[in-house]
Amino acid sequence: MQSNHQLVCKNIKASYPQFQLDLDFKIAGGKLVSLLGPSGCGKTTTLSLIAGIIPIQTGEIILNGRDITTLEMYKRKVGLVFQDYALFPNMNVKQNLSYPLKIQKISKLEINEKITNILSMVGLEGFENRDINELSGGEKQRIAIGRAIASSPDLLLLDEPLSALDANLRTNLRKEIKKIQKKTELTTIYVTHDQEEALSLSDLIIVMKDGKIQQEGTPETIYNKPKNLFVADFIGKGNTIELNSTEKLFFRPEKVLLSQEKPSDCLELKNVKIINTEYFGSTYASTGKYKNSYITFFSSTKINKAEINLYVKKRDTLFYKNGFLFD
Amino acid sequence: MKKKDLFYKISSLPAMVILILLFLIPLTGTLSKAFIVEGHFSFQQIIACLLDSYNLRVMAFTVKQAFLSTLLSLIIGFPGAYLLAKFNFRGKKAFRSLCTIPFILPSILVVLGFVIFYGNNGFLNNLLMSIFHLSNPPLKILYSFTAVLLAHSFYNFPIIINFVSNQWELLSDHPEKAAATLGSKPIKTFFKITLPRLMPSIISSCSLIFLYCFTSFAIILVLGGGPKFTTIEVEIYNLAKRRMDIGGAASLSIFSLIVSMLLLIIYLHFQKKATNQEVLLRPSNIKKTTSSKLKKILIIFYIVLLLFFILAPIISIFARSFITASSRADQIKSFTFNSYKEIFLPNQSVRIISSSTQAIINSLILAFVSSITSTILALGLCIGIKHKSSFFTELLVMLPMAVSSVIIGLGYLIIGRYFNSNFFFFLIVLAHTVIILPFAIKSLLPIYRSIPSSLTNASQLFGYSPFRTFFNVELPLLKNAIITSLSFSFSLSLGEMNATLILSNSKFVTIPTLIYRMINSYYFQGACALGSLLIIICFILFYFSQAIGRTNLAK
Repeated sequence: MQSNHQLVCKNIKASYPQFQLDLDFKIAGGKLVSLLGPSGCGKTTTLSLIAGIIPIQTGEIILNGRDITTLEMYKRKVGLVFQDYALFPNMNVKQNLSYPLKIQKISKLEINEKITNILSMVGLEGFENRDINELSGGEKQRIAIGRAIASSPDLLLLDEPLSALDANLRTNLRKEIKKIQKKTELTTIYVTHDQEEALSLSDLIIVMKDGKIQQEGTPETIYNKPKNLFVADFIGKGNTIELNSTEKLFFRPEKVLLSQEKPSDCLELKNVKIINTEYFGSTYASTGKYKNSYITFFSSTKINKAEINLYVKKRDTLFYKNGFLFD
Repeated sequence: MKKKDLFYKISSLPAMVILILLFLIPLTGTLSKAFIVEGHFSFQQIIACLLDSYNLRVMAFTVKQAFLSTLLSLIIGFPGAYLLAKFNFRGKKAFRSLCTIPFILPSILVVLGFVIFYGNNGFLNNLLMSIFHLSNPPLKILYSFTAVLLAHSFYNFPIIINFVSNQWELLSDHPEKAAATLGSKPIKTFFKITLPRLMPSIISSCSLIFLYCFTSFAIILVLGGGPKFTTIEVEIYNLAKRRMDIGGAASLSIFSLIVSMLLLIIYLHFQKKATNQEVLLRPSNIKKTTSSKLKKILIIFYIVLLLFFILAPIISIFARSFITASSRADQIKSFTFNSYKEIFLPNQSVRIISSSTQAIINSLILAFVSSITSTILALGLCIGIKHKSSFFTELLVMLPMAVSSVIIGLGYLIIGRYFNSNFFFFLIVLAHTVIILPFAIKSLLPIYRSIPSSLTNASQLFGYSPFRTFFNVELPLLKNAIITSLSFSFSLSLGEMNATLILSNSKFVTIPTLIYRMINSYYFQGACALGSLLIIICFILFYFSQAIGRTNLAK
């Protein structure tokens, strides 16, 4: 029903001490889009601009056909899930969830029904009368997500919602966020600095650095065809071989082949000096020195040789000139 | 640019208007008198005044006594800060709250307690006389420099204990441990590692104490006892009230104001530094319970001495309120309820204590109105400062802290001449409000600032305007801070004497001014009875706000 909602950020420019923000992007309705980048790249600033927490200097924001550029926060219909959950400590779970509903002039009965639905959606049935302080971090974030959904916003923003949780919980909750998003079809922007999170969740990833968009694309495109060396290095692990001062070759560690003889159509890296091997249970990750570059590769058995020959299929290598992908 | 919400813009307006109309304008009015001689602008008067040899002596003495008082407070308070920060012992909590008692006492009660306990005819001298069979009081502390220093350090050492132990507890002890593993001796480690790290809190607490002692009034007025031990504030009062030399008073006010501002800036700077310092991430509660016998004895000795120092004057007030002496120097004393009878059944007495009922009513009304007004104004200011911070607002808000209440009172005295005498009570309420406003802000602003902005933003994103967000989210979270602010303001207003004394005529009395008058006419039993009531009210208020604070922490 809400699949026509669409966010347009037009020519947003702003100066901050650490970076110049320069944004221009569109988001199709019903999609989950990740804003990915190292900390301090302007992701959270972008969210704050869209939510209206900080005023916009130049540019336009159109949400669902409405120009919200200068609109007050409380008129925007944007939902935001904060890193610190932002649950009201003076209210219990039920009061927190009904807070966005109360202002929408719906009957008490309907509010109660909605709260029951939301609690079951986030997997916390029967938590109505719990005190906020009794909840674990994961439970708090579930309630926060539920509360944002309850307000039925035109756009849902998630600001590093899992960063305060431990690793196991993160992967579980990540799956649930995806499930909930698909079910509600809310257009969602998900801010994260965790590339694994972005790859596994998103319909579309926007990679940012120093306030500027580096690449927009599906997770597969971003991983397999990074537009520039920054994106290539930032997403996943990668090896770079310097051909000369302007040209570089890039390939993923999992594309490195170990073989007695040279396979066809391959690049050969002769006499790679093994300098380090780490064991990860399912695999060994070794790093070797090849000319001036370090090559990381995986193997199922431990490498016992001091030197080894490595191969990469030519179609698995990417060629970069002046830092940009050369197709 | 997005415009800030109207609510955030206008919330601080009432307080700003009050501060400008009722603080800045009276202050400017007062200070301008220093430059006006017979209707003309001139520097003559202020230069003559500041170079006058008597005034120079007063200024030098003011600085000297403030410096020595601060030093003495530091010496008394520092071991206490060390104890609280580094050791666990039984009754630590009680010790901590006992240490804050002097701080919540109105200055007139400190004066009274000192007169009753250390006075020539006081409890300490009587005790020594009866033990050693002396015919003359051995200790002549009162009405001397020593009395001023003792009273000031009694009043202010809790600031040292509070500030320094708070910072000390939060400091990680890893640098000290590292120094120990590198072979540094404990004494050396203390001076080279610990002390430098404690400096921000030591300097900020000392500058605050210096400021309080510099502008101290009641203690100097009574305990200093005479022109030999006069400070600037007392001299301003003398000039304005007794000699009607407003120009001279204003000239001295300017000097006082400049010094106070400097001290306030130092205080604010180092306070910020102290709070910005690296803190222990996991506050370790592993504290030593010392096993060394000598240390134990020293600790117990310190605590007992401190308790004696704190409690003796206070208990003396309670005790003295029941003792009737047939004449001033009379040794024949009897236990009576006379003064309490006179307070509550005023018709039976002809003495000044008969106006006690009126004083209590006046004080309570004053405290009630001014604490509510200042808390509401402070709340508005806090909203403005948090959401739309401007340097001007913050400076204007802290300014009344730098201006002594005597000078504020002087300003109102000057304005008061242009008003009908019916406005007089109103003027005192306003003076109290302005004086306690910074303290109301100090109890509200840190708590208000600690409310994460994500809560306010979340509420607004759900469709609630800033105004409704304030009432739905921020106000409930501020409930305890508001109660603290109310009780703190209430007890400050109850104890306020300086501005009240300078403003009021002989007919208008409050509890502190009446106590002051009874001390002046040597009617100590009455002063103590009224003082006991004031102590009880202050303790109840203090306990109330502490209890609220505790539930706050528990949450």
